[in-house]
Amino acid sequence: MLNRLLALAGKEFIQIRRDKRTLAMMIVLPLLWLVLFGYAFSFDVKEVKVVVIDNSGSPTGALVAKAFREYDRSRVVTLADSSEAGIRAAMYRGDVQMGIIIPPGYAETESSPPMKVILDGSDLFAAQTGTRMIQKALEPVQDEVKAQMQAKAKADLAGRIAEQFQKVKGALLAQVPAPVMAQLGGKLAALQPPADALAFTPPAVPQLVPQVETLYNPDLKSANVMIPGLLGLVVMFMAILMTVLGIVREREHGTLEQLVVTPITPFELMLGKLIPPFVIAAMDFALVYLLGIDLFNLTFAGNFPLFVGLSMLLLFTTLGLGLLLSTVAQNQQQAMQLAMFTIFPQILVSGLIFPLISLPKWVQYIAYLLPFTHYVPIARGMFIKGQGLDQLLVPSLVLAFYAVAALVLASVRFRKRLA
Amino acid sequence: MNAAIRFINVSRSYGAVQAVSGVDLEVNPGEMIGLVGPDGSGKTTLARLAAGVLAPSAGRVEPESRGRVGYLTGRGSLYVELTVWENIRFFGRIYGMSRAKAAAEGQRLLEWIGLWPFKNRLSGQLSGGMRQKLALACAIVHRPPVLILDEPTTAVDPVARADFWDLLHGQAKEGRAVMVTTPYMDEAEHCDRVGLLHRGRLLAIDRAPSLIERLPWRMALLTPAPGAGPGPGRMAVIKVAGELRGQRWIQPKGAGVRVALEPGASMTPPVGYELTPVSASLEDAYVWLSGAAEEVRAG
Repeated sequence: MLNRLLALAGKEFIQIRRDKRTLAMMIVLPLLWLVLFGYAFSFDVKEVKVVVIDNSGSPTGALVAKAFREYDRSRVVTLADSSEAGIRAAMYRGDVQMGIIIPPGYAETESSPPMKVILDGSDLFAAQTGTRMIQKALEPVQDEVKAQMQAKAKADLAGRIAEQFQKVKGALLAQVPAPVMAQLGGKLAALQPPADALAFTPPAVPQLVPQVETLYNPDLKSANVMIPGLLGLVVMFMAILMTVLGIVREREHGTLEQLVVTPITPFELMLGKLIPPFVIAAMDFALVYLLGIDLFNLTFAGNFPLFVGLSMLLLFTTLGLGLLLSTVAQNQQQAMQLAMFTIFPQILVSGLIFPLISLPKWVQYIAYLLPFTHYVPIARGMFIKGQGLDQLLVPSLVLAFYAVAALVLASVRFRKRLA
Repeated sequence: MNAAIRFINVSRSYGAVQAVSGVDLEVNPGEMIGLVGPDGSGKTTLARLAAGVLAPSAGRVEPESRGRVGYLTGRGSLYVELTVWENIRFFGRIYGMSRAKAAAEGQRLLEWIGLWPFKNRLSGQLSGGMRQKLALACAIVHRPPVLILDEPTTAVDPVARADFWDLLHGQAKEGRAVMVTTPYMDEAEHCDRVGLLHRGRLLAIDRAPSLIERLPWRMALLTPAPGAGPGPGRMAVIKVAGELRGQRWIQPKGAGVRVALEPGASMTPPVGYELTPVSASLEDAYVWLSGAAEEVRAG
């Protein structure tokens, strides 16, 4: 039994080694996807084209304007027409994604008008980044703004005290006879207290800007969220394609008939046919894992052996699916099409790219029927958050069920198809 | 003598299509049987039933064939991405031989068919004749008592074809029961017994001379009489042959036309022609038998 199994699996590897197209697919495709999902599938906007118009004439306004201009994700654009209409026109042309107008008298009094921000909603991700950056850009200057406002409040108070003092002093001095006045003159001047001696602390400006802490993925990098799911995608794609092509090619060439004549049992044949896809999928998993971690500076937070084990469930499910498809496909072209048809819906609705919640209800129900949908939370949870089996029990059980069901169903149908 | 393979009233259908119906057939050890018939006559289905690739819809094929037949088809039974040497060792091991035994037996067979010098060539790069020799070697690497060949020489040139048939005869002499299907009548005549297949039925199975003897017709060749002048054209000869009294079928051959004549028909040629008796062939017997079968079908 082992001899036959080894002979069959060995033959498969020779065939794969001699087939340049398959070899290329095994190595190039995971790399291509790694780059695509790591870099291109990035919704992070590095820079937003910003116009800042400061009409305030106040030091606070100037400080805020400077903060926006100097924020490292702003790409400052200057417009000939620095009015709100000018911003709207520039946004219409696509020259500007975000406009900031600081109104006259900004932050001078409680009733001064607020700052106005205009965003280009047609540029979805830039607009979202713009919203987030308002807060971020103001963070470094907020202490300065606060100090400025407090200093101003203090100066105002000192001025008012001096004014009041002068008034009281004048009224008092008017009643004093001239000879006494001459004596008092010098002493009185020394009576006015300096503002500093008042021990006055201006009211604290409340911390309006919250301190935001993003857990698990502080820089909100999409690679962190994409690469774990990509591991499953690569495993699925390779396993299903290698399985179905390996069997259908033999059927097409007539060699499957030859094997059926030999004493090899359907179980041995199935096993021998599944070992190479298993090994290749595992190799590609390792390739994407190691390169992904290296290229995108990821760290795996969870229990790695458990992650490998749960990924294996997805692999077994997919091997079963591949075996099932191989009993249906007549030739390699059909096999290819069926494999694509099985994989692509899973990519789209699994939550890997688009959040599941954002899909229509009925699509969500379909999504939950697909194995990959249950792998994405496992991969992300373990990779980024370091979740364990307690948190991932449900998707793990679903995947385990699928793995057993797919393999049993496939082996039954595979035997029937051979007989 | 115990038959090496026996069909007992075997039928097989694919959905609504009846590919083989009611076939009884025995192949004895050391005997080579040829099954002949046009495309769609059920040859391949019979071969697959004999090899155990297909199960009969009705009837029985005895004994259980798994592991004790060598099976080879003209459609390709080899892995084209593997070398000659890899192919034969693979089949040896799949049949349960150890690595060493498969290698030893493989080398012996490759030397026997003369492919040892080409052992490192990819089998996809072999000529049709060489490829089928290798396929034969792979099919008998485990020394099976039965050898089933389905149109093995379809893509093989005539010289290599004769070579291949010599190898097959050798197999029968070694005591194997050999069953081979072919669309070529002249190839079938090499076999110990020939089975004629028509629309999934085995019309007759016998030694080729016996089958030919059954033909009630007399075969003759109609040719223009030699003489001065250009003589009648080809179309004219065919037309004259078609108008011969008692003619059952005609077949243009060279400058003349082969004619099958009813037993009582006159052998006197029309003016300007010659009618020479010729010996009947297996093909003639097949035409007669299948025609008779059609008449039975038509009722």
